[in-house]
Amino acid sequence: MSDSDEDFASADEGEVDSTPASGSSKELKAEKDVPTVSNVEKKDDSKPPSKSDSFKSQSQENTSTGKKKGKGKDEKKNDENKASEASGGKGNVPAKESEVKSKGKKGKNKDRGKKNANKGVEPKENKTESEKSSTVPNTQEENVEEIKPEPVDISDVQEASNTSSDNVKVDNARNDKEENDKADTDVAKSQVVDNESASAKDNVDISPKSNIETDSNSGSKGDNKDLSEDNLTDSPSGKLTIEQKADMIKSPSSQSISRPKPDHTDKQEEVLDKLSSSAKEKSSGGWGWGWGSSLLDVASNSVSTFTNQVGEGFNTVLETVESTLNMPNPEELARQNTADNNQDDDNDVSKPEKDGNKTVPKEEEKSPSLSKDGEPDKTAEDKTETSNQSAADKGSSESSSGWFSSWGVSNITKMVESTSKNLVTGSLDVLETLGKKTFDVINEHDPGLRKARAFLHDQGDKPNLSAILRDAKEQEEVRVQHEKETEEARKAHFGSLFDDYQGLAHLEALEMLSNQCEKKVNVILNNLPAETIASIKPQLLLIKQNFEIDDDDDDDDVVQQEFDKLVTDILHNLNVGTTPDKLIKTRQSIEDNVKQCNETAENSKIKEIHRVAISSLAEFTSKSIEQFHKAGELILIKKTKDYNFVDCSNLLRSFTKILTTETGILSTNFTECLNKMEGDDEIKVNHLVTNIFLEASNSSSYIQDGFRLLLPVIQQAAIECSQEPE
Amino acid sequence: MAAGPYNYSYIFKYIIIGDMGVGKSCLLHQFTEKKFMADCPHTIGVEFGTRIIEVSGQKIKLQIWDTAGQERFRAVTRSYYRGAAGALMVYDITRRSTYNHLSSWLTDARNLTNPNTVIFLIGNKSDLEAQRDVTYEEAKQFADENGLMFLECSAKTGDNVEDAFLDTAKKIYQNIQDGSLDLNAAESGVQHKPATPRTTLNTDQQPSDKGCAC
Repeated sequence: MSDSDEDFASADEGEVDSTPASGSSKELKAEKDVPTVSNVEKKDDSKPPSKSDSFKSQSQENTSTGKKKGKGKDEKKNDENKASEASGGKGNVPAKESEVKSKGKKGKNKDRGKKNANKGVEPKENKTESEKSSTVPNTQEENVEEIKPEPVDISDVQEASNTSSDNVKVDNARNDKEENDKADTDVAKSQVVDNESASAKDNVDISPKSNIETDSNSGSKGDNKDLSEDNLTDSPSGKLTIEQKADMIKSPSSQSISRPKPDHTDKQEEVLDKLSSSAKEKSSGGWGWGWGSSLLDVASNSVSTFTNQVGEGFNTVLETVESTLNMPNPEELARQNTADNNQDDDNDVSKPEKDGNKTVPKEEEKSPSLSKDGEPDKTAEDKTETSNQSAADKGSSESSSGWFSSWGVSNITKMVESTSKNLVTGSLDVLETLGKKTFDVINEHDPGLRKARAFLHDQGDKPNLSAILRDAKEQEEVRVQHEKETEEARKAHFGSLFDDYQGLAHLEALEMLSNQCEKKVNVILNNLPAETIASIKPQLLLIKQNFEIDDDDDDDDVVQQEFDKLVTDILHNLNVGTTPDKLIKTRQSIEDNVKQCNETAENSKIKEIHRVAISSLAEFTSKSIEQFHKAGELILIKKTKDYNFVDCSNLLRSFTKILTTETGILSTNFTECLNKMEGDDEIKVNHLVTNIFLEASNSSSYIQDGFRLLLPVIQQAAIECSQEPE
Repeated sequence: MAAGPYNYSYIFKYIIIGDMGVGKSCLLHQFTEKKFMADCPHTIGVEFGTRIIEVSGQKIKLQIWDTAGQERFRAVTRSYYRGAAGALMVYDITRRSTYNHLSSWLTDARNLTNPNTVIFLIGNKSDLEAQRDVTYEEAKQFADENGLMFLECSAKTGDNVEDAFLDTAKKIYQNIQDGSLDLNAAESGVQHKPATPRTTLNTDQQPSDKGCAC
């Protein structure tokens, strides 16, 4: 059933696509089709409510059943038309054309994409493109609707076969036609009649088969009506399938039995033959008629293709259910059944098969390769279904009760079968409805399903989940490895450690302070009177001299210095309120680190010693910068009049010297520690020692930078202090 | 300078300002160390604290500048406002004078930072309810009037401290996201490290500094 859903979808689209074309079509056929469709719609509106209102209004239901039968016949007729044309020796060219077209139609049913390709195949037919497209929707419409009435049709066919005589059927068929005539609008009817009567005339002249009992006009008229009936009945039944399928299943007996099918009397077959031959004639004759007939062929062709597919699918389902339920051979059941019921003996066992084939999928015509088993199976199934349905129902009608009694022993089995089949058909209907609803919902927001298709297509392009996961895993491994390395490197990275110890922040703050002071000094100097500047200038120059660190005096041979004492003294002399507590504490902890490194002189600890060394240098440098920063802040707020800023700068210079010397001592201590671990990994040790010395010099650079940043601070302080008294 | 690898994608600079003794350094210590520092010495100039937080899945390093509240440092601390992405303006709810000085601090904050700097008003010492001198309502009104975010916190109990710092960061991050804070501007107070592959690092964080230097 999913297949049919797909087809349904594509048919729908086709209809939408070609609607404008049908509006503009001028051909007779096209004009005929359009009003017919509108008729259908009118019927649609009027019928379903009355049905849903009452189960008892059988006349209404009967009407619809009759129409369905008409449709079945119509299909048959179309198929014959097509068959005769395809096989006919005359009019080879048109026949070919029609075949091409029919292929195209098939393609459309299955794959909309082929539509363009088909157009390409028939360049000659450009003129009639609109006409063709106007027919296409109709055909597709039929196809679509055909899926749904299928179960009903099956029962109908079966009933028809069971209710014996052909005459009765014909009568009924005529009744149907008359009913429909009333319903039809005159316009549609007259158009149809015009068209077909014309063809009928042709037939009378040419075809020898056209010895129909009724006059050609009425016969063709009936057929024409069937054509329109086809459309009429299709949509209501389609609606029924969706909305009232349950009702249909429960009460089919009354419908089908009281309204036997006017199926394939000789008369009708002759009409069909006539039609087909006329189609042949037409196609071999003028262009216009040839197109009309070939269009008919195409329509019938696609209809039968479609019905075939659906029929097969349905058959498979039934067979599966049947085999699962261990049912008796349906063919036998069918024979028994028909023998019991067909008292007129017009139709023997083969008759129901024939009927079934005609109404349901035209398997014989379309796919003769299909196994013979399939067809009787199907027919038998149809019968059993209907009878069981009627049994399940109250079994109101007489013929159904007769039917029912004939079943006898296998009654219980049939009950089971019918229940299960109801289940199956019910479920299928639900699925179908779901599918249609889903499609409608999607199509509503996504016309042509373009987005959906693009989405699905994109999905295909994307790498699958496992690939993504695998990639992610690899990346994660690489990342973890990288992180380990970088983390290790970071632990021994002077810069980041310097940041961690807030040395960077203090340096940044000191820089900001310095920049601010520098600006302010410039502003002050520009605004001061010349004599005041002259009075301050010597002091400022002296201060500046103290900040010019000459690299000559780095007689860094100092191996030991009383760091704590020196620093404490200097900061005391500086007299700005800052204490070297942190600095001293830090240096002591570094000393402890060095001792520890010497004690645990193990080869495996090379890296660790290096790390501690770098970390110690970073921390020491940070505290040194902090010391400068604090000193600068405190000097800046020093408002003591007699404060000697030249001395201050000198002290700070000494202080810087002590700090840089200390970094040299500390680095030497660590490298000595490393060098003790001579042995296997000399290259590595040398590399690490070099690195420590490098970072020690880096450290010294930071310290000297910090010191230099103090110059504007001291300058500003000096100027401000000199200004204060005035 | 130090261009080592970092496991965060942004650095936000905060500056904490306010009168002496309102508890600026204690708030910082509570935030970075989750401890209350009972006898906090006067801050000289400025001290620093850092902590890495996460906002919207982004690791952000807060570089917090804890300024000295003493009036004599005012000139010095003014140099440090520049480039702050967030300013935490603190007063003591038990001392109305600290609240009264807020307008002066706010003027500094407005003048010395960029227009996008998020200013968060913190009424500290909310644990000392009995000695309350400034009602929540009037402070709230002041905050609303001046477009400030506001919370009452307690550096002692830690109440709301986390929220104050995190809410500020969220606001700054939001400003970055909606484009009102230009990262390329020199004074944005935000450093972005897009090149670092360590934005999603899950290793234990570097312990923040050896404590705030109070």
